[in-house]
Amino acid sequence: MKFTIERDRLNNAVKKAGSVISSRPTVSIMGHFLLDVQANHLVITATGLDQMITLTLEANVEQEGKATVSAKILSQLVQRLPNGDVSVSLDERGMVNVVCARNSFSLQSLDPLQFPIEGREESRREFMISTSQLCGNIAKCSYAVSTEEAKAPMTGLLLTITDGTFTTVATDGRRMALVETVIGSDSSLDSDSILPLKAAQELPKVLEGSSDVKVSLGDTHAVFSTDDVVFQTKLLEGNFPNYRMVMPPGFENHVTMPRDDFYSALDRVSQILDKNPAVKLSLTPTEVLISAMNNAEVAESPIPASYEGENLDLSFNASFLIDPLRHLECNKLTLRFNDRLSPTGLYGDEGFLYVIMPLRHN
Amino acid sequence: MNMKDKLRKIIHVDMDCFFAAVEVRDQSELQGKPVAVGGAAKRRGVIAAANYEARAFGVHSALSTAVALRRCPELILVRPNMNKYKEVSAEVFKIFRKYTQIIEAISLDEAFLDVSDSPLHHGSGTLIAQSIKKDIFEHTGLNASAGIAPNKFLAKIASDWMKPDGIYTIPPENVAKFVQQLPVKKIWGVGKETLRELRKFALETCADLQKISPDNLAKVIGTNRAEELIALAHGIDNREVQSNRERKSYTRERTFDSDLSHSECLEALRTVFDECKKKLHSYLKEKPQYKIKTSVLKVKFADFTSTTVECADLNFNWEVMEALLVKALERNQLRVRLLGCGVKFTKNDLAQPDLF
Repeated sequence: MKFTIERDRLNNAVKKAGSVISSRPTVSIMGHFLLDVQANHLVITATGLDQMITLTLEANVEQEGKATVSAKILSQLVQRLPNGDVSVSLDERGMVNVVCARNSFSLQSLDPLQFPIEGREESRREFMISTSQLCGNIAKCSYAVSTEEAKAPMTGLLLTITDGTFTTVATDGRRMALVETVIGSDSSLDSDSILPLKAAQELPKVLEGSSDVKVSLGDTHAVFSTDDVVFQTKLLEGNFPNYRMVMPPGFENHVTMPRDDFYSALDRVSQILDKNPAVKLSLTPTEVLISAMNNAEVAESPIPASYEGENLDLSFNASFLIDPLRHLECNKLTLRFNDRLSPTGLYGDEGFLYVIMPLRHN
Repeated sequence: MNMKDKLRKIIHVDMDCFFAAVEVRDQSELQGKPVAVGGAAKRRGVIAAANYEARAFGVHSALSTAVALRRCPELILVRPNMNKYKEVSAEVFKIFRKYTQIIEAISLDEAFLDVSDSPLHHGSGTLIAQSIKKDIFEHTGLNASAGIAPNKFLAKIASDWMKPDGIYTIPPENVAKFVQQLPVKKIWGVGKETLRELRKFALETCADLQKISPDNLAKVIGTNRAEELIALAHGIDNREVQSNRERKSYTRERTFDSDLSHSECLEALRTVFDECKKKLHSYLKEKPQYKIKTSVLKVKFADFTSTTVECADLNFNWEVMEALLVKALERNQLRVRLLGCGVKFTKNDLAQPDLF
């Protein structure tokens, strides 16, 4: 095995591949990259407990062959190499030699045949989506994912396809975020899959630089593939709560506010909060007064708004309101609600819905 | 003087004519002129604050604006801007928190600070107070007066002693001398009515009050009030700086003139309970965030040992208190010196309900 590749491209690839590797691999080969050199390509494979990634890079191939190399060492090494071509070869002693300019390194290879490669399961559903759309949808939901291990299915994002609409949903039981994207009228099987949060957080990194991604959803795995990257992850088992149930059939009232004003007012007011997370929204026809109280300390910040109902106070967990605002791009936000105790919907970007329970006195 | 007093260092900080000072600060053309913040005379408004230039004409807070304008026709009347005062007040309280966490806010412009345990300035209350005054001036451009004393009563009197922009310390060793000359009307809670009663007996200064027997004074103003007044006249005030941040309980207690037998306790407790219940009720009206969690009863016996019993009870019921008394008295056969009762709070927090 022998190939030459530009340092920058190799660095980029090992960074992406390294993200799936477990920090404490159970067997040493799981801490290695598999380097598979064929025709004019270098294929780097890395596997973690639940994920696997394969990157295909064009390289100047002198000799086909396979080797493995410590992911940690190679990543740290390549990061520190000067710009220029890097030549990598496997010698007869079973050492991987990395040479760049006048620097040379000899790294241990393990038996490539021992490298665990998970077979591909047949996908039940495939569709194309733009990478920015997919990553945007995930970002607009991920913060709502539950961190409680006991609520296993809720520790991931639901990816669901119904009638040509792809929906991403996350909830921790107290608030729920969802984004709908129309992906076409192709109406083959509907499907529900739960993507683990870790995989969701890695997607933007591993898909960086691509414009579109093919999403393949199977029973136990999901695969995200672009021209040069294939990212496979296990799905979470169990039943995701029936999120449609929490969406009220209709809302009687709504208040509309500028997103930036709402965000900065919440951010200001919540500075006085510590254990008590509550912020109050006092609605009047032209203004929403955002206020917080922490024992003797009081914070108030009014923002312009348009509202047609009777003056009303709504209380929310401040960070539950702030979380979605960080990821929305819209200029205006609308809160829709029936009364001060039932689920409230926050609308902004197209296809986005956030449902949150107001706080109530116990 | 009791031991506890000697150990405490309380600072009372009082902003000088706060609202008026804020307005003069923000509108330089008002500098040097008589200025008052208050409602319009037409609308029967009253003065909320007046600067010293206005005070020279006899304008003071709570005076009707119409009268104020008669006394001082050049008076510049500024409409109150409470939001602004609240903002400035928040800055001032932020400064307080640099020095201690035990802060009792009396109003936007006035607070007690307990700096007994502060390591700052080698624990010197006077130096801490000076530093607070300096900090306030640097951050807000406003003057404050500060009083330093071993208790709240004297600290408040001290802050008033050298106003405006003053600082006055009553060290523990000077307390006895200081109170001698103190007019009774300076005592917190001695209003016109009490003052009139006291004057009938030629009680003008704390020294006079110290000489009168508690029983005789009790005939004039009632037993509880008499005890309290005589203690204050000696410069004794054990009330703690109630940090407004978190109050965990509300209790009232009473030491009896002579120790009670167990059979006398129930009736005596009822009096303490009724008083406590009444005060607790009005306290909870002001502080709806507090919710009663348990009822507590404290008994101090003749040998000064004390015992506390409590029971989950959301309403501070007399029946619960009766049962607690039985339980507490079982613990000691001695006569009873003190009975106290009250409640412990939980925070009436807002809860996050589940979506599904």
